[in-house]
Amino acid sequence: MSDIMASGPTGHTIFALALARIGRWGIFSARAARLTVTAPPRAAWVIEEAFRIGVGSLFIVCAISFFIGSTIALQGYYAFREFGGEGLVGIFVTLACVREMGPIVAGSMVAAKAGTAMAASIAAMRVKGQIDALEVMAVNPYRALVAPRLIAALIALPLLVVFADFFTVLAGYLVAVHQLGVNPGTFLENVRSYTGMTDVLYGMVKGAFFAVMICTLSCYQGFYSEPGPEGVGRATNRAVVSVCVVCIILNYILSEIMYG
Amino acid sequence: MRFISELGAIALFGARTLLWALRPPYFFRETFSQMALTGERCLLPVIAVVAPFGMVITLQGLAIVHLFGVERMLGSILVVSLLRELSPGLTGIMMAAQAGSTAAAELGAMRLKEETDALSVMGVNPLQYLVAPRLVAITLMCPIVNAIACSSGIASGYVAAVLFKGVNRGAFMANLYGFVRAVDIWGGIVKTLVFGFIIGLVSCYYGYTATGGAEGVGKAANDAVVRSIITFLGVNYFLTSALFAVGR
Repeated sequence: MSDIMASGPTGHTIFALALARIGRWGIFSARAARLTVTAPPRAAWVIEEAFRIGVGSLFIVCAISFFIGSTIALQGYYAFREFGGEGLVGIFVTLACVREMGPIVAGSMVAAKAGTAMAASIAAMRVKGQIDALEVMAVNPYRALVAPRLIAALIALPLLVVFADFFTVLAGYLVAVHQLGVNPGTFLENVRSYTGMTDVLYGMVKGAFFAVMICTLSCYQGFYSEPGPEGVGRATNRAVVSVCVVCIILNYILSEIMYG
Repeated sequence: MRFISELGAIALFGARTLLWALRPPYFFRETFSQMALTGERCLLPVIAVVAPFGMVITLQGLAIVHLFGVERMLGSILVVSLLRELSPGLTGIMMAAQAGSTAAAELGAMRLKEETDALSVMGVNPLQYLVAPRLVAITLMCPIVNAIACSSGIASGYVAAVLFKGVNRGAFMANLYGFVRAVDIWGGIVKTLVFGFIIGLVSCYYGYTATGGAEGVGKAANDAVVRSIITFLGVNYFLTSALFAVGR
């Protein structure tokens, strides 16, 4: 495998290189998952990471949710006005936000903030030789670095999805009622009758899938970082881009299964 | 307080870069090569995000149009929501993640290896030679990438609706551009130009002012992505309101 990695993206090897990278990521994730189950990390590490991921991303998730919700309300109002359905903006906001935008906003912001931080810190450890030092001290780096982050992300992301759901719908309500003059009773009735607990729970399940992807991809990119400060920058960049692409494609597949 | 002083520092940095960019010597070759690199790096990730999103809109849109029995509206909903909001917003997010973080990481690495100081010593202004080409490249490439991404989103929506879900092809195509107005097209261009400028400025600022070792570069790239996304999504709400008011 290392021969293909070393040859770089020239001509016909580019496809082989991509396949080799996906395979290396798969082996990395399988090892991390096996260790998470067989030798669970210390609870203190998990709690510390969960605090860093969850509370660290909470503000930005709420802020972005607020902007997304208000934009969706504006968008839905003007789209439905074309056929005289201004009152239906509540349905549009609640379906779009709870089913799709809530999980995506929470996922992409955790990817942008916590995911890049994971990639950068693990890459910095790799560049300084600290990961090799861990192995020399007989500490399994998967157990010390990857497993706590994996469990922490699995706890934190579904909870952030609930915050994102709440703030997108709240912002949609404020814009629809106070800026566009939709009847508040109609809006709330639409929200209540078109989304239920299952939609919120499905959103949290989506969040859990995103958490696994964000964590394994970001840690993987950091773990196999190239040397030097550029290597750390490149690992961070690759982490956020690969996570975004994978999560959006995964989201379509999950939506098709859940609501299709 | 720190937030406001940082905002002021970014604005000053932008004003200084623009002033220097207007003065000769002009680095046209550097600007064009940055534009080519930005386009090459961003195009695939942006398409990979916008195209599945076109499918998701189709999927959720079908649920809504079935409620009212207006399946023919599906095409118009897809095109209008992509043109006005989703394609510019998603393009901005992916440009920030890809081009913005790359610019921040490159400038940060140059700053930490004292390459920017070396440039100044050689009498080359780093704002003119390093920052201005990146800022111009990201600003100008954003609308171009957005146009391509938008077409890919519409195409994938067509695939999802007509091939996967069995919507009538004629009904889908006939109403595709039913609700599109001129303001949607030039509004998208204005939006993406503004987003590109914000992304370029914020990313270059955090890269240019990076401090402290390998973590410093990672932190600069991280800050660049998070803060440019927050800033342009905040601006987006006001731009959307203004463009709807103009378009009426």
